[in-house]
Amino acid sequence: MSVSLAFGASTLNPLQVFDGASVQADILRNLRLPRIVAAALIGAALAVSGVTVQGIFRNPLAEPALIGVSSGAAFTAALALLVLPAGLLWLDLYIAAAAFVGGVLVSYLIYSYFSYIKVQNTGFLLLIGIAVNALLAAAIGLLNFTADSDQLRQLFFWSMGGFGNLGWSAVITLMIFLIPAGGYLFKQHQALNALLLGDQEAAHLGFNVQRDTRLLLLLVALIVGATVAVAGIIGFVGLVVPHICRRITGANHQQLFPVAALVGAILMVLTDVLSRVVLAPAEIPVGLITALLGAPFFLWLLSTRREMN
Amino acid sequence: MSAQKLAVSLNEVSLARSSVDHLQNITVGFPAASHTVILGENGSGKSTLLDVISGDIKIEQGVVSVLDKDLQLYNLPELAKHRAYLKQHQRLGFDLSVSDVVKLGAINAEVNRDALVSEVLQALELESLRDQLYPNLSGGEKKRVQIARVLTQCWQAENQICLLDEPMSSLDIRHQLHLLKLLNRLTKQGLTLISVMHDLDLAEQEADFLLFLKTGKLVGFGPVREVFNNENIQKTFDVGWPLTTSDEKLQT
Repeated sequence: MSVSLAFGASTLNPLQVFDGASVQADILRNLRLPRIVAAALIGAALAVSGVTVQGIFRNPLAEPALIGVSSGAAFTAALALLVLPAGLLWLDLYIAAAAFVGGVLVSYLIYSYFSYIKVQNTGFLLLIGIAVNALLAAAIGLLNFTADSDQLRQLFFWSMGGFGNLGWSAVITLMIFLIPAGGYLFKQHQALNALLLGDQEAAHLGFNVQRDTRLLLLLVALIVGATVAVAGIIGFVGLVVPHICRRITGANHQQLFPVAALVGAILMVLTDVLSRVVLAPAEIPVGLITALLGAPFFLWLLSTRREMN
Repeated sequence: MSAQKLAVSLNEVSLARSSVDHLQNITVGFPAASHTVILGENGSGKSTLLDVISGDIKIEQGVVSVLDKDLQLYNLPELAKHRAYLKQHQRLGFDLSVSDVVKLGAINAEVNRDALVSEVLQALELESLRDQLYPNLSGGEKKRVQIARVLTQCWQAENQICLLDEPMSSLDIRHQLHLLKLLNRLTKQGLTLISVMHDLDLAEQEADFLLFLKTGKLVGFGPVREVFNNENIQKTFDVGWPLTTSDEKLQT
């Protein structure tokens, strides 16, 4: 955190945060500190969501975006930008609310369709997610077609993810969603461990698999929906961090959850530092960095692992 | 405990799926605190019968009672306190350790879980593997770990029903005998055990009751000494018992 406080468009001494009313203290307290806290919360949230989704599907390729929450949020955010009501005061809040509603709604629709076609295999849920994600990507493409250049630029930055304008209000918004949902998710660690044995085996142990799966997916949709609403789409964290952490703790969710939250938070704060210093004073969108570093790292990880067998 | 008391009973149970009769009009009672082995050809409905008793498959006709209560009236947590089930094939999503897998069987336990897991691991000679990752084990070791998980769930034995689908497959002879001894001890403590086995010798030696199944129909059921005979084996498998090389079907 100190490293992250120090670096940015200008380099500051982290201890200046306590330095009364100086400009530096103001930058640290009201620009960098909330941004760091928000980045840590978002990193933890995405990592824990990734752990959950991979656990539910017993599939190391699953990531939160596959249940449609990101594409749903992106679609409604794009739609909201294009049909902006006149005289809107709270633009960020408006977009965030639209993204959140879209993310949760699309996840819900995907799950409803999965229930409707009555297959037992949760793998189908991933296939439905892939189809819906492709559909929404095309729909967003169509929306882009009709957007003007200002809107396009806004959409681009939003879809790349970033912590550029996150203040203490964003931190509070995130906490309102993430702390209860994350706490509840952690309480489900036994259900997730049981699901690793298979749906039927989990049912034999007394878990209501359908109800628990639905609840877990809802929590993930709420958590990821909140992060997307606040900071846009940040890929690869939810996919890669669970893999790293399973190597540290094994797959027992009781240990995996807290470690993933910690590693996710640290990685996201460090990524945010990179985004600020590499092309300073310009900022690279965080989502670009997570993809640029995450994808090759994931490819390397694949070459060294057993889990894919 | 009276041997007459029934832990599980099926009354005129039938199940048909995609025009194939999987189970036809089965009426049978499994005595409590005893070991019943289900025998039958491949595809005769043995696993389906276990699925029906476990509640995995809903029946179309008839009634299944578990501990004197209609199976349909149980909710999942309640049933999990009385019934454990080892399916024929097991898998595991990610790398859990051996003790983590076995501990899953202790989720509903009202005693100290770690102590319970240690006791079961010791009983199945798995203590030295407790910190190993499950995917790194051999096939037989994985099987023993899954058996340990299932037995942990019903370790209390009294008023517990344990369904084991081919527990002996992929175990070496020493571990087979060791497991049978353990199962024997648990049934004496009150466990009702219903298993599927293919080894007729082991079934004859170890079971208290035998159930013969042929294309979803009950061929015979009763105490081993009454039903283990050439007639039932001939009807079930189309081979004579004891097996002789003069058996026409085996020669051709």
